[in-house]
Amino acid sequence: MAGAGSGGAGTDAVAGESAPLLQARALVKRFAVTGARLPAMRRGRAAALTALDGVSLAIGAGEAIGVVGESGSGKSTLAKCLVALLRPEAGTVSYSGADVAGLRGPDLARLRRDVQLIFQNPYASLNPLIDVGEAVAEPAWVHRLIERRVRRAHAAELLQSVGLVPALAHRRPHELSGGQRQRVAIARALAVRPRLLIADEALSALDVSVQAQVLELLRELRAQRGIGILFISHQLSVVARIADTVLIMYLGRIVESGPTARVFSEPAHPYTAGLLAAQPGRHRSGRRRAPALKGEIPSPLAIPSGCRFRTRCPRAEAICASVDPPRVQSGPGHAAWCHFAGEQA
Amino acid sequence: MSVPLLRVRELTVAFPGSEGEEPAVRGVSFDVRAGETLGILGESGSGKTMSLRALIGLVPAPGRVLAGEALWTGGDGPRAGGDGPRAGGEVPSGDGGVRRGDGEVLGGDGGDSERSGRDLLRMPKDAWRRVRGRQIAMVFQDPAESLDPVFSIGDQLIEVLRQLAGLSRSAARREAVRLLERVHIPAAERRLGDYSHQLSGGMRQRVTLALAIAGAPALLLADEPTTALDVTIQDQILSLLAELQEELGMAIVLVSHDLGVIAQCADRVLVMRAGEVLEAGTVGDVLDSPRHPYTAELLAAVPRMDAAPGGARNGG
Repeated sequence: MAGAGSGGAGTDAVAGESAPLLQARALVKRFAVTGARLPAMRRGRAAALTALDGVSLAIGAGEAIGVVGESGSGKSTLAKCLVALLRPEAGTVSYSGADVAGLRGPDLARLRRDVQLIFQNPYASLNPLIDVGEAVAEPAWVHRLIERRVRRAHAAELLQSVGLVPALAHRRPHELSGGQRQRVAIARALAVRPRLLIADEALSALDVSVQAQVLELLRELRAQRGIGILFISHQLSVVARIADTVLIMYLGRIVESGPTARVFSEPAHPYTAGLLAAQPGRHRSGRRRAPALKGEIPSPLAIPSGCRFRTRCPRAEAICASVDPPRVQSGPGHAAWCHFAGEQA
Repeated sequence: MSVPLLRVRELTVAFPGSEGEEPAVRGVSFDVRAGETLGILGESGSGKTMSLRALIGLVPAPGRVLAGEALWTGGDGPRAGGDGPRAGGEVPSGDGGVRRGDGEVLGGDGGDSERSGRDLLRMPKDAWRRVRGRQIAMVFQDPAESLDPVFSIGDQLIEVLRQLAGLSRSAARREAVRLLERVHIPAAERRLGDYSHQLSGGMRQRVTLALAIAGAPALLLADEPTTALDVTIQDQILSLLAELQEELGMAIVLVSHDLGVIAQCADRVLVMRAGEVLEAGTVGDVLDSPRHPYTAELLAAVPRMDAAPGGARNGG
């Protein structure tokens, strides 16, 4: 049921073209939880936290897909499953048609090279003892794309490609600004000529002016090199700038998907509508108003029955507590998993 | 022609650097009027947080205030006024200014209207005890700065209420429940025994707001209070801030890097960069027609919801 419930998200976007580069089908990922992390009542019993509950998506070459959701929605777990850093309990991830769970040796190395992850905190992904030039060139010679002795020259090129001066190659990560570090992380990802970048909150820690520059860089990479981008973010406005297609996640499920401009202008799911209404600055100065959404995202240890959003949904009715909402088509390539999605005024 | 609650002039804060002291805040001046929200907008390193911390005597060492003054006219005793959250003991102290509900300052230190008040930048340590929490309170981006992990939130609220309002333990407990309800924490009574690590980020920030308003301050300093929160929770906290401000009539200085947050919450805004105020004015004036090129750049850098790739929105 879960698979069918969330199936097909993102697939419309590549319909009629060649097979997608990376495809996830009905992914389920659970984590065993024990001891002090459980509420007192449930201690001593085995429990599983459901981080992904039937998520499907497909991303083609040169496509840009955004994944939006609050903390706890499963965005980062999704990214890790996509690159086989985590093994899902159910469902499959395939890269160029091959199941990534079965990849070994050179095939796995190819996935590791072709699909690159960029994280929120570049400071955590860079070795503080290694200078920027070594860090940037290392993946290229490890994957035997260049000879080790030409790595410094290669590093200079890579740094230039992300708008950094080659002189930075001699610096250590702590000597760089946050924006420079994130560019270094991107240069490092580009070192292996990837086909797909997965950016997990990659711009979230940056100042808005730096964010704009890095966003522009990602857009150029896509336009000039045809690199696909899966852009995971809690910032709707940033996703709007980069992604053609957007997936809205809530508590381990995709609840809405479709062309970004359409989803953001005519949201079909009450959660998406709430996220949009909660964007700061939509209302000027001080006018008191009720918050767009009440409550907080429930614990993934206790996912509500029926529709998982119902506990915060302004439209919830009796049916929402008992029946998991089906996929409702609400426009070309636009779908929402809500009992009322078809009834937009 | 009321006197501003707070008048800051030429505030300069410096930190030791490789070549002597390097100013992080360079001659910043602004007024805060009773009941208003002043937004301070800036990117990292702009000096916005240090400007705020200086006002409550919390510039972290080895930094220090080098120059300037911050004239506080709000008095330094407990505020009077019927609708404060304190249950009892609402007697203005001898030397404190008595604030009426409308925020107008009556009296003060007995000086003339222009110079009445005291300089927060030169206040002795023991004098801060009568100002912090009672007149000026602060909330931080990271609630861990205000919450102690080894005491329950109830114990912390009760302690603060006993200190600020001189309540008995049982009265303070009742008041603590009332404060938690006031910041919309569900099942407040049962939450008293919780520790901060048991709460979500949003709930923690509600608790720090409850602590901050325990003494019904005339001014709340808020440093990126919603930055670490999800957008729907941010929306709830901003709504709560507006609600508390309306009920308590307090002024707020809100520091944020987020133009949207400032646009939504502030009446007036200062734009800061590299320790200096580049531009100041009403939110409407500054954000709609910025005078300084940097403000215009900041505005242009904010991604817009309607600028999705692939062109026009569906259905126009």
